[in-house]
Amino acid sequence: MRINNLKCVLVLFILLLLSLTSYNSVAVDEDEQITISSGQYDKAYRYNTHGWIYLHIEGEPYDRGYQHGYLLANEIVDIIQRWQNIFPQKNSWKFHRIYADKFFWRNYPEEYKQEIQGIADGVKDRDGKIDGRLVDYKDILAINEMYEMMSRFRTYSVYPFRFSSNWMIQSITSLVSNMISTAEEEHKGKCSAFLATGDATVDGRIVATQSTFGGKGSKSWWHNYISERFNVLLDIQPTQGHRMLIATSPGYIWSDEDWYQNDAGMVLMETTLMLGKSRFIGDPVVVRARKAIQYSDSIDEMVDYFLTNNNGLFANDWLMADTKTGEIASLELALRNYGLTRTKNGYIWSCNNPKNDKVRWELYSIFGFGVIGRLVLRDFRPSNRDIKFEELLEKHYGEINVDIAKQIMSTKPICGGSTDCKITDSSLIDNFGLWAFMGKPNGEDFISNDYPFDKEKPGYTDLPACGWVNIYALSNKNTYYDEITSYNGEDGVKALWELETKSYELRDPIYSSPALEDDSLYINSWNGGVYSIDAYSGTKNWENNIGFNSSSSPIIECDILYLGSNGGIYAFDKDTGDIIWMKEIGGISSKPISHNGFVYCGSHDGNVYAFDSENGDLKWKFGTNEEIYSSPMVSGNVLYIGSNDGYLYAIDVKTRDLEWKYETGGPVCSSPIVFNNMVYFGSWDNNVYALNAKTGELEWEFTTGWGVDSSPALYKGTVFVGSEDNNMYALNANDGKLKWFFSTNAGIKSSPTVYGGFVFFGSSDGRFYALNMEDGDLEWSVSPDYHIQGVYNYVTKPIDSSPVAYDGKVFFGSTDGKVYCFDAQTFEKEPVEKEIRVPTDTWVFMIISLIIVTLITALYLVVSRRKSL
Amino acid sequence: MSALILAFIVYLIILVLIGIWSSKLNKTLDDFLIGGRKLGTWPVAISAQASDMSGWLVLALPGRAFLYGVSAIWTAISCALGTLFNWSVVARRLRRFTEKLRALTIPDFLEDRYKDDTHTIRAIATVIIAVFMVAYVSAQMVASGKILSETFGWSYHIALLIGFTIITFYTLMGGFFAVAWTDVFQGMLIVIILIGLPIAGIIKMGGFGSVFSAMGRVDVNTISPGFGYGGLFFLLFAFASMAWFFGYPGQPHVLTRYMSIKSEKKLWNSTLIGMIWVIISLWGAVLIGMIGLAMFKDIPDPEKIMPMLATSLLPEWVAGIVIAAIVAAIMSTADSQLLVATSAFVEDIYHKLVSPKAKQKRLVFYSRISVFMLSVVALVFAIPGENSAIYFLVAFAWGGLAASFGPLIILSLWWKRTTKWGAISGMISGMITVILWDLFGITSYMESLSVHDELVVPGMLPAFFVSFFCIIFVSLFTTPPETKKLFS
Repeated sequence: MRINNLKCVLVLFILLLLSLTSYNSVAVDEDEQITISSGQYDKAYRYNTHGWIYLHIEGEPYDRGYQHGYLLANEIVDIIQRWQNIFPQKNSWKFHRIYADKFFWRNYPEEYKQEIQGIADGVKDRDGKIDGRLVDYKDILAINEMYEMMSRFRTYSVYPFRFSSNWMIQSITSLVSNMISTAEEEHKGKCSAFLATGDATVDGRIVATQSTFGGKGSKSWWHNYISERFNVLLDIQPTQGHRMLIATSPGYIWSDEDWYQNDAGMVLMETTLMLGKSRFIGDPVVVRARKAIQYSDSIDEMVDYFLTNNNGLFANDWLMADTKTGEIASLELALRNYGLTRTKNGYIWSCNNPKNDKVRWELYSIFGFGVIGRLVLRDFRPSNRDIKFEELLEKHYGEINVDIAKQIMSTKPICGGSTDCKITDSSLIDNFGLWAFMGKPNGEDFISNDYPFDKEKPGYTDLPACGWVNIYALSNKNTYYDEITSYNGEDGVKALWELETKSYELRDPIYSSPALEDDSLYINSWNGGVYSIDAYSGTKNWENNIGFNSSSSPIIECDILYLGSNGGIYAFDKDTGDIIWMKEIGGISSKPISHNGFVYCGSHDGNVYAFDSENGDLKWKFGTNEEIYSSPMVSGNVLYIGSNDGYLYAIDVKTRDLEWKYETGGPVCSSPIVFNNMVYFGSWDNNVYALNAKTGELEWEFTTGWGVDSSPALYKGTVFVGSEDNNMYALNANDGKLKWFFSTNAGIKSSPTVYGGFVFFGSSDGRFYALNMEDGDLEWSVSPDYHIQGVYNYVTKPIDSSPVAYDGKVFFGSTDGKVYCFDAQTFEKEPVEKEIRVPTDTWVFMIISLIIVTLITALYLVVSRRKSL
Repeated sequence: MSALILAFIVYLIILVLIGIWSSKLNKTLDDFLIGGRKLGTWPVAISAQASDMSGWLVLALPGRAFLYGVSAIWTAISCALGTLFNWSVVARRLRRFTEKLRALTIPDFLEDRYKDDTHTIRAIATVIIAVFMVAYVSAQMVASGKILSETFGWSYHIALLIGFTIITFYTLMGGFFAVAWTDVFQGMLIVIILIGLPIAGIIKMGGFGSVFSAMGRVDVNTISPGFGYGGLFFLLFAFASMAWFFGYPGQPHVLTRYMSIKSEKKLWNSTLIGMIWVIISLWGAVLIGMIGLAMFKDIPDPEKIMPMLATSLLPEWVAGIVIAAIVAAIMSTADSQLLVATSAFVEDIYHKLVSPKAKQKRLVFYSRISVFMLSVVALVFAIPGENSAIYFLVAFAWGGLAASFGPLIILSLWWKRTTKWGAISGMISGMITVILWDLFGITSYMESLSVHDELVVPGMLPAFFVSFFCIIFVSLFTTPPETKKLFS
C-alpha cells in the first residue's frame, strides 16, 4: 500500500515537472551565413572587390591590430582552420601554437607583438572561435609563422600526401632523384616576379609585378587551399614608419606571399628558394620583412633589414625597387650567403631559381649542408620559366609597362601555378595604387572538384579567375554606408539567351560594355575577340580577333564600330566585321566617342587623341600627366575626360585648348556625363562630383566610402552611381542629396542603366541587380556564375560590364566570358538545382542488401523448421 | 500545453499503468529477473529486439545514416545478421542449457557450465557486466537527455535528470514482467513509426530519386555504398561498419531474453517475429537518417535527426507519440540493462555467495535498491555526455560485453572442450583488449593521425578474436569439465 502511494507521488511529481518546464521554448539557432562584405571600425574600413578584400587600418600598433581583427574576424578564423586542416594530426594546431610561441614570439619587437595581440582581441570580440575556444595571440602568431615553421620542419608536403598508399616510395624516389639529378627541376614553389626600369620600360620608370603560386593534385592541393585565402590588400597607416600596401592573408602582419609597397616609393617582392639551414637566434623573416617595408626609404636600408639578425628560414629571392631613384635590386638570401644584384637599367626576374653561386652552393648542394641538396655541385641552369621570362622581357625591351606586365604574367609557363598577380609602376605608386588579379591571371578557373580529395575540407572551394582590378589606397575623407541585405538564395532568373566567348580554349572575360545598333549587339572580350550578336536569338553575326587585350568598349557611329585595345584603336565595318583602319598607339581602355568626323579617346600614355573617323589619321592630341582610363564625353564643342593625374579636363575640340580643369584628390577613372550644363563624374578620392560644365566650378560633391570608378547615369533628375564601397547610390542631380543606396557584396565598377523603372548594374560580387528606380528596393538579381557567399570573398566572377537595355531586354557581359540577355521586365524565378546523377550502385546496394538479408533469414527459418519437424 | 507534450505524457502514463499492472506478477526473484521463464512468443521476440536496439536504433543509427548516407546500411546489415546469428546459434542452446543448469543469469550459467567452485568466473563476469552495463545505461541516459532537451527545449542536464527519473522509476516498479510487456507495446509502436516516418518523408520529398539527389547535393559521398572510398579503404570502411556483428552473442541483456522463453518450441515463431521486426526497424532507421539529410542538410547534432524529422513531418500529437516512443525505446533498453546489472549483484553475488538462504521478498527489495544505485552511477557518467555521440558510447559498452562474453558464450554452448581457465582467460583478454584499444590505444592513435572516424576499426572486432583464440588456446592445455549430461 505504501509503495502504491509512493508511486502516485512520483507520477504526480513527474507530471508537475513536465508541465512546469514545458513553457521553455526551444532556442532557434539561426545559423544562416551572412556575407559580411564591408565594415567600419574606428578609422578602419574594409570592402570587397574582384575577389580581394581591401582593408585599411591605421593608428597605434594595438589599435590597428584590433581594427584588423575586428573587421576580418570571420576570414581570420577561416584561415586558421585551413592551416589546421592541412595537417593530418589532430593536435597539429596545438603544436604549432606552442612552437610559434616558444621559438619566435620572443624575437618580435614590442610593436608587432601589440599588433598581433590587437588582431587576436579584435577576433575574440567578434566571438571568433577555434575548436570552441576564443582565438588568442598564439593563433595569430602561428598563422604568421606557418611558412617559417614549415621551413624549419621541412614539411612542405603535408596531408594527404602521407596517406596515399605509396607515399613512402614516392618520397624516397623523389629524394634520390633530387640528389643525383643534374638537370634543373622545377622548384616546388612557383612564384614569379620581375622588375624593369630605365631603357627596359616604356617611360624609363619602374614596373614591378609578382604572382603567388598555388598547387593542385594529391601532393600540393593545400597550396591552393591556403593561397585562395591570400586575398587581402592590407593598407596599414602606422603612427611610425611608412604607410604600406601589402598583399596578404587575413590576420597577417606581413605579406608572406610576398608583395609590399610603401609611400616612400619602395616595392618589395619575393620568390621562395630552397629550404635552407637556419638558426634559432635571429629574427624571424616576418619581423625582418615587415620592418624592411615599414622603415625603409632606400634599397640599402631594405637590404640591411634583411641581413641583420637573419635566422635563415624561408630563404627567398627578395626583389626591391625604389621608384624615387629608378633602381631595382635582387637579394638572394640564404643563411650564410647572399647575392645582391642592383641596376638602374634593365630588368630582373625571379622564379625560385637562385642565380648566385654561393647561394646555390649553400641551398642546393649537399656540401653546403642543404638537406635535400644534390650530390653534384652545379651551376645555374635556367628553368622553363627562366627561359620564358628572358624571352619575353627581351622581346618587349623598351616597351614594358603595366599592359605588357599583364601579358607576361598571363603567359604559360610563367602563370602555370599562379593564384594571383599584382602589378604596379612608378605612376601607380604615386597614387598608392596597383593592378591586382585574384585567381590565375590567364583566366583559368581552379575547379576543386577536378582535384578531389579523399574527404571534403571545409572551404576547399573553387578559385575562379576574378579579373583584373585597379585599386588605389588613398586616404581621403570617406563616409560609411551599409545596409545588410540578404540575397544569397539559389534563386535564379532565367536568361533569354547566353553566348560564350572563348579563346585559347579558355573562358575569355568580358570587361567591355555592349553597344546596340539595329537589333545587333556588339561586344569585345579581353583576349581580343570582337563580336556582333543578334540581339533576339543570341547567335553570332560575325566575330573577329584583334590579337590584343582589350577592356575598352565599342561604340557605333555611321555604321562604323570603333574600339580601343592595348594595341591601339580600331575601326570595323559593323556589318561584316572587317577592319577599316587601325592605329597602334599603345593602350586604350577608354570607350572612344565619335563627334563631327572625329573619333576621340584617352590613352594609357596620358594623351587624349583625336583621329579622323574616315581613315584614322591622327589629327591632334592633348597631354595629361598620367594614364587615362576614363572615357571622353563631348557636349557642345567641349570634350570632358578624367585622368589618373587627378584632374577632370574640359577641352574645346575646335580650338584644342583647355577650357578648364578641376582637381580631385585621386585618379579620375570614372567617365563623365553631361546634362543640363552639369558634368557628373566620380574620383578615387571617394567623391562623386557635379561641376558646372561651362566654368568647372563645383556645384556639389557627395562622399562615399571608397573610390568611385563607376560612371554615373542620369535619369529624371537622379544621378545613379556605383562605388568601390559596394554601394549603388541614387543622388539628387541638383544638390547631390542621397535618395537611397543599395549594398551589394563587393565593389561596383559597372555603370548603371536605367530602363523601365529599373536600375540595372553588375557588381564585382558576381551578381547582376535590378533595383526599383524610385526606392532602391531589390526587384530581382541573378548570379550567372560564381558569386560571393559567406566568407569566401574570392569566389566571384565580377560583372564589370555596364548593361544596355532595349526592347524589354537587358544585355551585359561578365568576366565569366559570357554575354547574357535577360528579360528586363518580367522575371521568372526558376530555382536552379545542381544536377546529381544517382549512381545505379546506390539503388542496387539499397535493394540487394535488403533482399540478401531477408533471404538469409528466410533460408534459416525454412531449414530450421524442417529440422524441428 | 501543446499537443506534443500532451501526447508524450499520455504515452508515459500508459507505460506506467502497464508497469503497475505487471508489478503484481512479481513474486519471486525469478519473476523479477527473468519473468519466471514463462514468457510467450511475442514478448520474447519483441522484447529481445527492443532491448537490444534501444536509443541506438532511434537516435544513433539515423544519426549515422545522416552522416554517412546509404553506406550506413553496412551497419544495418551487420546488426540484422548478428541478430539472426543469435537466434540461430545461441538462443536454443542457451535456453536449454540454462534450464538444465537452473541458471538465472549469465554468470550463473558460466559458473555452472564450468563447475567453478571457486566462484572466480562468477566474480569476473559480474565485474565486467557491472562496468560495461553501467557504461551502457549511461549511453541510454545521454540519449534520453538529448532527446528531451531537443524536444522540450530544456537544458541537457535537466532533461537528463528527468530521463533518469523516468527510467529508474519504471524499472523499479516493474522488474522483468513490466520490462517485457512494455517492450512489446513499445516495440510494436517503434516499428510502426519506423515504417511510417520514412514513407511520410519520401512522399514529402517527392520520391526516392529526389531523396538521393538531395543527399548527393549535400555530399556526393553519401550516395555511394562505400562513402566514396575505393579499394582497400572501401573494405576497411565496410569492415569497421560491420564490427557490430561480432557483438551479438555477448550481450547479457539480450541473452536473458532467450532464457526467459516458455518453451523451446516457441523459439521458431519468436525468431520469425524478431527478425521481421529487426529488418524493418534497421532499414527504417537508416531511411530516416537519409531523408533527414536530404531535408535538413546540416544540423548541429545528427543524432537528433529523428525527433527533428518527426516534428517537421507529422501532426503535433503524432510527433508527441513518436518522441515518447523514442524515449520508450531508450527506457526499454536501459531497464533491461539495469536489471542485468542488478542481477549481477543481487543474484550472482548476494544470493549465491553471501546469503544463499535469503528470502525472496528481501531479494526483490535489494534488487530495487541496487537498480537505484546503479542508475545513479550511470547518471553521474552521463552528466558530461552532452557532446558525445551515442553511437560511440554504445559501441564501447557493446564492444566490451561483446569481447568478454561473445566468444565465451559461443564456445560454451558449442565446444565441449572449453575449460574454466579458457573461459577466464577469454573474458579477461577480451575486456583488456577493448579497453586498451578504445580508451588508451589504437583509436586515439588513429585519431591523432586524423584518420576519419569511420575508418577506425572499433575495439570489439580485434578483441573478439583475441578472446576467441585465447579460450581455445588455454582450453587445449587445461582439463575440460564433465559436460556429457549437458550436451546430450
